[in-house]
Amino acid sequence: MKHILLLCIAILFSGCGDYIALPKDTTRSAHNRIKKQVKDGLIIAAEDYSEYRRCRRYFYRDLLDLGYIPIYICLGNQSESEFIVRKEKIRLLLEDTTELSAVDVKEVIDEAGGSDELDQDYSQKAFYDSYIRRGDNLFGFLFFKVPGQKKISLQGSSLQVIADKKAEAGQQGETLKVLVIVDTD
Amino acid sequence: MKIVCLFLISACLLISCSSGPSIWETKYKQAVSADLAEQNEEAINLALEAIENKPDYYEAHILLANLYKKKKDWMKAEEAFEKASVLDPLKAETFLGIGESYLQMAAQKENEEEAEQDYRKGQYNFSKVLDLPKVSGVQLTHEEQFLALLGKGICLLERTLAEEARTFLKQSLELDIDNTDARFYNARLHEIGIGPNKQSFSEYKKILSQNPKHLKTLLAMGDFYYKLDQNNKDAIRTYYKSFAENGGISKRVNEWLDANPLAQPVAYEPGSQVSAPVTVTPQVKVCQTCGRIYPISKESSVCDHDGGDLIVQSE
Repeated sequence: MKHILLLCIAILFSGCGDYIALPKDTTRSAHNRIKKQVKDGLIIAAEDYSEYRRCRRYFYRDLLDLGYIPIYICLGNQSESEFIVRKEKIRLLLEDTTELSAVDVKEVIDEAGGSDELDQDYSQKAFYDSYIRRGDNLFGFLFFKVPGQKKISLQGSSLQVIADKKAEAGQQGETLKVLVIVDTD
Repeated sequence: MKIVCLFLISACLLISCSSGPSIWETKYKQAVSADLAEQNEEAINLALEAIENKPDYYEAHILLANLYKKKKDWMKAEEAFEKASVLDPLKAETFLGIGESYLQMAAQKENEEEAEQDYRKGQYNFSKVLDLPKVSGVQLTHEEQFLALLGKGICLLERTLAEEARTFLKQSLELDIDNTDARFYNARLHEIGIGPNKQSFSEYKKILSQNPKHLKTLLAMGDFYYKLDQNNKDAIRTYYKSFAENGGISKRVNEWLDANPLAQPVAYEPGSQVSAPVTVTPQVKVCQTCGRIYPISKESSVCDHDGGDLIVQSE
């Protein structure tokens, strides 16, 4: 009887803890990637994670089916300056001229309808507004909402990032617009 | 008797309808003739009349689009090609036409944001052409393939996506090694990659020797000298001036010419109506390994990028 009870508890717990997702890949920084863009020492690369199997491995959900495109953004700074990159200033430009803005990760979590683990994992993986200091390498996911029931293709799509270059002493700040192709391979 | 009369009238009507060209065909043929006679406006009006009488007349839409293209009215050309593409979505010529129209419109825009959008629309249409064989089994002609590859490469390059442009520009050059635009954009791509260099410079020179009116090359040469040494105003002015005189439109070039108004005699090619750049032979330092070009004022005799020896040369 005791054994059966233990087994039931084990089954119950295994059911709760079934969120399995890989951590974000921080092994390849922006400057190591082939498809990248460099402007004034700011390096940006972007990668599509919407493909079904890949998405399941990293998010345990088919996010594209839920209406979201996960794009992995990698940023590096090889300059002496400091940059500020804000999520709201990043846009996904599809080749068919559709432009998408990144949504809040909370929206994706709600749609994915997951557990605390999922909530925590998605929140930890998401990209937030960041300062990028000299030598920094930052990584994070951006989530773009697919408009309506539209069938989308990420072939030839690009990410447009508007970054603020912080003013140095005696100099003026600058706004940089960087366009980088989204790696779909 | 009445029935016989009615029958005869109907028969006559039927015969008149079935024999002889229809009004849209007549208008279309007249438009083609007007086009051949270089009467562009007349041809446009006739093509419009043909379309008015038969809105789904694909050939008339294409003719109209090409007439607008001749007139360099790129916005209307794009609209006409777009309508033709709705009538027949499997024709590469319509998407090539739309792509080219956007390329031309983008090139005329000073606003970077607007130009970027047009280049993206152009890129999308060139991609459609390249996807046609996969999507619908349509076989592209050699020329269609070439134009789509070159167009997509140019759009990507102008959108600053140089690495992605490389594949398409290289393939286009492989398809037509003598094409001036393909040669120019490959040389420009190389310059974007490593900066002013001997290979791009000599390619620009070759293009200009074949076509002294090639606007993009004239502008690139002016920019080349500008990047190399802003004080070399004679060389910069020569190319910028030739660019402007031959119909090139650029706000920054005009501003530079206004700010640097020194009179410079313009040389003319023998027997040519257009102005050609005068020979400017300033001295520069050229890396013997990678071909990068530096201004003569550079103190070091070693290339910054690969440590190659810098040799003083007259271009």
